[in-house]
Parts: sequence; C-alpha cells; structure tokens
Amino acid sequence: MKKLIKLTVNDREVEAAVEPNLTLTDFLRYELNLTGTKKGCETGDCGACTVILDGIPVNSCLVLAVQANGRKVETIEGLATEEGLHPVQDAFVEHGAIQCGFCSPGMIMSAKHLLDKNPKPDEGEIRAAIAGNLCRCTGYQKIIDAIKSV
Amino acid sequence: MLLPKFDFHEPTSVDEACEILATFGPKAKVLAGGTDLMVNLKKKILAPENLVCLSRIDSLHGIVEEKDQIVIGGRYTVAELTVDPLVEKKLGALRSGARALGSPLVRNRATIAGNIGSARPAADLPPSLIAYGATVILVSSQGKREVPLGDFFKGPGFTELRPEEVLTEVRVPVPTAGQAPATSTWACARPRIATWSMWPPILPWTRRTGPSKPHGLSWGRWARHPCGPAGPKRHWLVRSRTRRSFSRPEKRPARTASPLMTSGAQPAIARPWWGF
Repeated sequence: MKKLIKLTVNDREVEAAVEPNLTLTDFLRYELNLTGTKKGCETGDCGACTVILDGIPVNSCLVLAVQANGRKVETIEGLATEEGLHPVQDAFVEHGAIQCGFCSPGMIMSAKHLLDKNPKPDEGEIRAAIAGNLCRCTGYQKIIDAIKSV
Repeated sequence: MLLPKFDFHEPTSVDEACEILATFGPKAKVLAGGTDLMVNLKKKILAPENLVCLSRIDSLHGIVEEKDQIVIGGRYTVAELTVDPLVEKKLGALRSGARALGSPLVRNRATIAGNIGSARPAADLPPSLIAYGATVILVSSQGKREVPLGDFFKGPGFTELRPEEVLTEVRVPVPTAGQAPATSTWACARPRIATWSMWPPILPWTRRTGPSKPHGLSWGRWARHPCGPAGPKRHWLVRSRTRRSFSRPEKRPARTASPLMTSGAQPAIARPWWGF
C-alpha cells in the first residue's frame, strides 16, 4: 500500500505517494527526475548514490523513500545556484577531477559535507571522508587536490 | 535491484514496536540502520512481509553513563560511536572497532543494535563489546531480559533474539583501574586476515583488581580474547592464563596473544586462513 510522504529536497517541499519498497535513490531519480544521484552497486559499497540526509551523507540506495518522510535531502542538483557552480564543483572542473564522471556527484556530496564541517581539512581527513566513494577510473589524486584547493 | 514488497511500520515507541512484532512474529523484520538488512532484501536472502523501522523511536538513541555502566541506545549509530567523547575516554577498544567498520557513509547509517543483531561474522563491534563484558537488553511485549553478549551469538546470522523482541540497548561495564583494553588486527601477523575484518580485542586483567569479576569472566593474570570470525559461533572466548610478559598488552598485542588465539580457534575455519 502506498504511503504519503512529505520531505524537503534541495530546499523544495515535495509530497508524494510511494510504495514502501521504493529506495530513496529510485524516488529521486524516477519520481523527481533528479538523475544526478547515480545508481552504482546498489548495496552501499560504491557511494555513487550519496545524498545528504538531515545534514549527514548517506548511501541513498540503503534508505527507503518512506524513511525520508519529514526529513531534508540535499542532492547534487541542489549545489549550484544562479550565481554559478558550488565551489567544490568548480574545483573539480578546475583540477580535472573527473574522468567518466559517474562517481563525481557522490564524491562532491561527501566533499561538501567535509568542507562544511572542516573548511581546511588535511589530506588524511580528505581521504577518510571520501573513503566511501569509489572511483573506478582511480582518479583519486586529482579529486583530493581539488578538495584541498577549495 | 528491486526490493521485495512489504508493509512498512514506523512505531514511535518501543512498546508500539513490540506490539507490532508480537502481531506479525517471524513475518516481520526490524529495520535499524538498514546497511545490512536492505542488502539482504535486495539480494532476496530475506523477504519479510513487514518491516518495523526503529528510526522514529527517540528513546533508543543516546548514550549515558549510569553508575559503573555505559548504556548505549540501540539506534546509536557507528559514526556517533567514533566521535562520542564518552566512548573515546572510556571505551577505546569499542571506538577502534567502530572506526574500522565499513565506509563513512555506512557508519553514518549503521547502528550498534544492527551490527550486533544481524550477527554477521565480520561485525566489528561485538568482539570489543564481549571483551568489555557487555550485555544486551531484549524487550518484547512479555517483558525484558538481559543477555551477556558472549552468550548472545549462536552462529552466523543466529542469535538469542526472538522474532518478537527488540534489542533496545547495550550495557557496557566501564573498565576499572588495572584493566587495559587493547585492540589488534591480525594484519601484524597475516595480512590476508586483515581483509577479513579480524578484530581480536584483548582485555587483560594485569592484577587482581578487587571484587569486579563481570559475568564470571577472568581476573588476576587472566585475559579475555574475544575474536571475530574464527569458528562456527564466530565469537569465541579464550580464557587463558597469560605470561607475565603479557601484562602490557598495548605493546605488540597480536604477537603476545597469537598463540592463545590460535589454540582456541576452530581449526576447520581458522587454519586454512591463518596458515598455522
């Protein structure tokens, strides 16, 4: 039976009736067309589906849409403003920290959360913060350089 | 990967959760952080008709020191354990286990009750908790009971937890003076084991430290060496008289403990991996 949920996605109130077995990733991608959040392993290993839920980065593939009821979700689409890209996105572009780009949305969300908490992280802290985001192109060094430069 | 169909329940109190579980029995599963259960649902290993989500039960979230125990709510996340000042100050071995668990994203969701209740062989929290002599509180509509964590696990995926019960809190006795918790991975001895999440925390009693003898465990120059996946029951306990040189476990704990650990492991599982 569908359940009615109300949540805030990128500062926008969203109301929808969803099946209980719909994951937050699928809800964002297929119901709200926010396809920036990627589906990778779908088992919480790769971090491609990282979103920020109530201020904490999580694997949205392991969260049910109904669990996000009443909560605040930030996705990659919510970072850029009318003034331009978010500084983390700018840094990724500047440093070429993108190869195939599939891990980038998750990586950027994890990096944004780290920089919100700790504006000047050292390399160890950066590596620890993005440990849950896998880059199969193995372009980690440029990603770390980009985050350091923000 | 599609999830099977289920009904979703979101109780706001433990009593309400127990009522739901009593109604549906084995047809219901408790959802704590979901980092394990959701994967099992996707892989079709489990297909419960009802999911009982604990995320709205505020009383299960928190940590408090009560007399000589630290009481950790079942919904306390592993990420919170890694940064909690009380855990850092008094339960260093638990903190080490928490820091080793999964990735930051998984730690943000995973809960202490889930890590214990799922009884996964590679779980990172139970070994140190057993070493501390922790107990778990299991609540159902019939009442509540306290089970020592050392007796809680029955095998991979099997525990004392009945279908109608909720693991509400973990009670950890605060180590007293003279108790020296330490953790060690087997990376020192066998790098392959490190990939297998082997965490043998060591909690030796270097001196007779007075009357404290929690749950009938060792004291004097005896030590507890609970260990990760090293046998069918996965968390075995070696009670062995240690050598005098072992009185400072923080110095090379894996080396001093290894003969004791290997002698207590189940050979069928342990030896091919350990190569002893």
